[in-house]
Amino acid sequence: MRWKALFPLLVFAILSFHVPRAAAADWDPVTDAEKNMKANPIDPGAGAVVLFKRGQIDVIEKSSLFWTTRIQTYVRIKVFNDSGRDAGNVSVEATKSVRISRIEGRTILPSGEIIPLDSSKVFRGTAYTEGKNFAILQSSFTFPSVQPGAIIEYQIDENEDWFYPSPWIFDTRELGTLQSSLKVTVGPRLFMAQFPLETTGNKISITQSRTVLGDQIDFSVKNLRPIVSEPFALPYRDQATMILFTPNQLGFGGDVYPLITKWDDVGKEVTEELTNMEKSEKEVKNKAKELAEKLPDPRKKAEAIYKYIQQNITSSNLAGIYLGRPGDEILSAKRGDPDEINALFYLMLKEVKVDADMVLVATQNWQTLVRGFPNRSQFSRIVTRLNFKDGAVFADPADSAAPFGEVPWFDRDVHGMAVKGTKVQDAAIPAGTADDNVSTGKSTMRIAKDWTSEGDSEIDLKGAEAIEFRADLMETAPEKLEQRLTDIFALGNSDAEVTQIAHPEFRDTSQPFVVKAHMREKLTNESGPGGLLLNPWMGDQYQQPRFTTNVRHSAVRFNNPEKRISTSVWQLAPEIKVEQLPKDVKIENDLGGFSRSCTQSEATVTCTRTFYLKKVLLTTNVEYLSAKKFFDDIAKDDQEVIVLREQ
Amino acid sequence: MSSSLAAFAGLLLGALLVCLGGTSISRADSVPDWLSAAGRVDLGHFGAGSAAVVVGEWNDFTVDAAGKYVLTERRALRVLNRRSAEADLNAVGFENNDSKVTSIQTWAISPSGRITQSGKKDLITAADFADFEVFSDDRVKMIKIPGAEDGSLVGYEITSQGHIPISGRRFRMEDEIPVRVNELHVSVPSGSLHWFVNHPDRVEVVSQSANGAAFRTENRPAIPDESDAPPFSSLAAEVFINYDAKGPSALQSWEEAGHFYHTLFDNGEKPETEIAAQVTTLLSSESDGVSKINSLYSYVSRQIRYVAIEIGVGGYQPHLPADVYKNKYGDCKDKASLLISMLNKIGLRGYPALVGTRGDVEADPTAPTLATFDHMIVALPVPANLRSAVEKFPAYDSRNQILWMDPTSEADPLGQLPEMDQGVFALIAYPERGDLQRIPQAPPDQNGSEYAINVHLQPDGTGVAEVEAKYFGASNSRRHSFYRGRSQSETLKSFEERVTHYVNQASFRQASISGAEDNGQQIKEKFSFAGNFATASTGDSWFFQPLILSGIAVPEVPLRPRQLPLDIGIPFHVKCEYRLELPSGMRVERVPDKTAVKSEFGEVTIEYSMSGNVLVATQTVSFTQSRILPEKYPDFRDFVNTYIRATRQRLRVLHTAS
Repeated sequence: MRWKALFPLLVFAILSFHVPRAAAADWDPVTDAEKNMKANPIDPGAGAVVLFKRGQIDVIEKSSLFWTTRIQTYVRIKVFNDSGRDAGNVSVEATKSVRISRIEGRTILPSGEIIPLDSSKVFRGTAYTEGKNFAILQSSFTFPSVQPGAIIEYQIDENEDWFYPSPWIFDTRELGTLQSSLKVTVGPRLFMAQFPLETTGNKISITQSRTVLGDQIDFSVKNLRPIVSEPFALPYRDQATMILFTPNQLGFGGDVYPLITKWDDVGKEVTEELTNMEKSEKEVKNKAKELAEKLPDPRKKAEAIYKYIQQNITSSNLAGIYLGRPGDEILSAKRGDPDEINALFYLMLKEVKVDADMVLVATQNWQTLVRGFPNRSQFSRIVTRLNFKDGAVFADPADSAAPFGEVPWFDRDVHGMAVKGTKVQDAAIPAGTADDNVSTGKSTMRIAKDWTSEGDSEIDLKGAEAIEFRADLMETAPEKLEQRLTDIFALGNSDAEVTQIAHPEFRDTSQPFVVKAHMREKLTNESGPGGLLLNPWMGDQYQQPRFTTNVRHSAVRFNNPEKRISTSVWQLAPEIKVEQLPKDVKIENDLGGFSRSCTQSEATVTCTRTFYLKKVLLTTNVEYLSAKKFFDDIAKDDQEVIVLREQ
Repeated sequence: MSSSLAAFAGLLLGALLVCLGGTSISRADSVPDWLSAAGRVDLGHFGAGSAAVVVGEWNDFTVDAAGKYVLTERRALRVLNRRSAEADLNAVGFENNDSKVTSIQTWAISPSGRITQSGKKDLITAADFADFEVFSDDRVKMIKIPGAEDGSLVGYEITSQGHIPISGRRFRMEDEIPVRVNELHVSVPSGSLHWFVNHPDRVEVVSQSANGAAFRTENRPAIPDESDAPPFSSLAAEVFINYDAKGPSALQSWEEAGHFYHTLFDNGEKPETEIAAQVTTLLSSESDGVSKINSLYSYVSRQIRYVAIEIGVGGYQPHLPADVYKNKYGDCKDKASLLISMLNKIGLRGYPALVGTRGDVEADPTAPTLATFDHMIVALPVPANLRSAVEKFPAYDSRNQILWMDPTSEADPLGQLPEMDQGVFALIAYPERGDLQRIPQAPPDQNGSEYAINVHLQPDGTGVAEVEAKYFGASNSRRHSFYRGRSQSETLKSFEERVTHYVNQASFRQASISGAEDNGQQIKEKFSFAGNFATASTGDSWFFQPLILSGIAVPEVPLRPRQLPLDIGIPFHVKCEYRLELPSGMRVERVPDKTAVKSEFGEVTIEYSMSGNVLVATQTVSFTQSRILPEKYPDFRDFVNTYIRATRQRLRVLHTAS
């Protein structure tokens, strides 16, 4: 759920209740072990470590039907060296419905001296507001006298007047955590589903008890390594250890009212929001009719509307699902969030009687959907499923560069939920195959006696890379486009002259992505007087993944399967002879394959190279190391050259 | 009186706006006259190929006797390419605790004449502070203009008001897109005004008086978008204004600007007993003057944590040294202020020096203003008895006998400045006057890196390399920063990644680093790795590139002519000495000739020789200039390309008998 999606639920908070002034913080005694700790046991040499992070969430019915959620956080951090002092800068962001009633902190110097955080040095401000209803407020503070050996600790109390706790994350950004725990108490008339999301390395232990306030569950986890940035990593929410909450049922007046017990309940909420969107859709309907009413078949109708939306409505690219604005407003503003744009598409299709559904998805770059836990916050986007007679087609007009019938990589290989009125239906969006994402490069070059190379080059992209690249080029002003394409063809070769660039209108996604240019350059890779080492795969070397480290923390997830084919033809001047061609290579494994070959026919050498990736998820270290070797071997093979010699 | 009315009108307009609902579609006559007029401007081919063109921009800036300003910004844009114009379609007003945006409104007129006007729902407020700040009161009020499409005329009007502590500001007259007309009117009815223009050839002064002025630019092309260019603020024509709201004392020289700033810097007094005690402790074992300065500088540099909290005048004025010392944190001004206080305790008088940092703002010496600085360091006039001890420091200006110190840096030793301070202008704020000086720039031999590489090659082209690296000047400081913030696993990862750039199928073996704790020490790295050094095999021989570290610090020099200067950073040098031990029974086919080039841009020398079965190669390059003018770029490109080609030489290794 996008942050602003929470506001309709603020009906629970119409009455303003004062939060009692919080009592002074109780601080745990600092142990000798904490005092004497000299290095981070789970990440030696790191600047700081979270000794413990404790959370307590109390969801309590204060009076009849008035529920509050109180979140108390207590964090203690040990600083080991200068770089760890940055842990002393803390910033907390929350929507304006959250009242931060208490922030207290203190620095404990190595000498034992305690320096409290001056409350006047807690700065509160606006991080972001949009319109009247949506605001994120920020509280920032920094600890005094932070130095190596010091311990810093703080406690924060947050209160909300409702019962929808946000997911609790046990990790701390950029720091390792030795102990992390959460205590959850829920009042007796509310059933709150709580889903522990563990990772391969971090197991959550759970104990349950009953207290006078309600059911209490204790979660705890130990030795959380910092989540580090790695290439082709899973999104943060998939790497973090966390608890998801969903209020299922509410008891009132002797009855039990269901809230969210199944996925259908999420679909029902979205359908209700769509109804609001339909309240002002006169222009939406008119536009749909104008664009598509007279077209012969559903596909043509859908394509016409898709093209209009894609070319005219700019997406904010915000993640989340909340349909808060009327359709006509989005149409006239020519701006919308991705979910709104897809909902607009759906409404326009409905108007011209094209069978379609909105599909809720947790995109690849957001999180993996936990199918066993109905919860709206897991979704990050809506896409559209068109139910044609010859089969379903997925489309996402919020992506400005995706041709009709294709979706960008982050929408693929995910499990979606199609909204069908008050029901939802499974809607898996396929990953596709390597043949759906093909990059083809062709060049024909003449090499003169003075080692000047001249000829034509062509790039033809299909699938995910075409979408990404087209989006990038669409945002480039026309006058700068040629410069961008020149740099791409020149491939960092500072001597290359690139002329006669031909390209499609990138804003029209129905046009094939084919770019051509004429190239001229002086080859300089000399092997001594009269000799030249010609690398026919120069342009391919940096196109596939490369892993540099032996230790991997996250699973590897490539965006999509892909195939890259390059063919280069070299026509040699009569004075040049081939001394040696690279040997043929062919590698096949469960990850993909690589092959290359060069053949000579009189004065012409033709080289081809093919790489494909068919497996996109690597979960074990063995798989990772095997992939690393595969890519290292390709990199080595890509260094092989044609040896040319002047006769 | 008129300014009060304008302010009132602004407030009234603001109040009216609050009453507006969501985005509305209006009749054609509901746009303001200035926007309608802009719609009638025939642009012809002006700006063709751009994302958008500024048809007109009109800024009115008025300051009343109480020092309150009212700024009205109006801008009309023609959208030529909607997709690439997104960045230009934001109406942004800036505010903080001293200044407020009182109204903001946008209009978009489609080619068919349909008008979309922004509403309250479109208004976004966002904090506007940089990553390095923990907190700032700077905010933006912004509308992403609704309703724009290809060919639309869009416009916005923003009114803001408040106080500016430095009584001056800058106005940009050019943009990243073409500008047909830009007009600026400045008025200080009850006081005085002085103004400066950084590119006077591009800005017409329409009118001027003691308390007002009007400026105009016309038909200005977009400021080119080139990588590694000087900061945009130096490239675009700007008008700098200084005002005195109710008197004749608007700043008109750097001398006055420095004096004015000193009054702002001098933030009162608080007992500094604890600071004095700390100074005594720090200096208890120091005997000579420079060691004492070093102790104090190092203390503030390393023990006072950099934390930026900028609220109101706090953006310009430091906290009291006693408070900074107590908290053990502060921003650049706070750290400079504390160091000045500590120096004072030992009889040395340091002064705050405002810096427009390299690549960010860079003060223009012809435009005296306090609106062009983003950093503060310390200028210490060195007493005669200490000069001989500091004369070798790159940060010592021997002509003016000033030692520059930047205690914000946690990685530079005394006598050295971070790259962002070098070679740019700084305004020293003496109590009685200011003095704009150029900060010294270290010569190339005092900045850069040197390597000794031993490679043991096997008959199949695989091998093991041992590298010793040492760093100088700003490069050394960067390595200090790099290692100080890394855990063992991160350091290991960085080496694993680094060696993959040198050789195929790289396998990192081990590394040791010394000198990382003390900024005054040189960082020395020793590391080794194995890999496949052969880049191409030909039967029983193979090729390899002897200068395996050749990619270090080479500027990119594409063929395209430059329109803007190329900034390659402060002068530096790289030196590599290779000893490549060939497998027994094998030899290199030829030993390459010596390459030696000396030019105004620097020097390159690459030399090879054989010593038994060891190929010895020495590679030295130095870049002596930091900024290359466009007309010199082709020559510079030749210089760099000569170096690159020479380093990429590949040699064939074959059996001795071959």
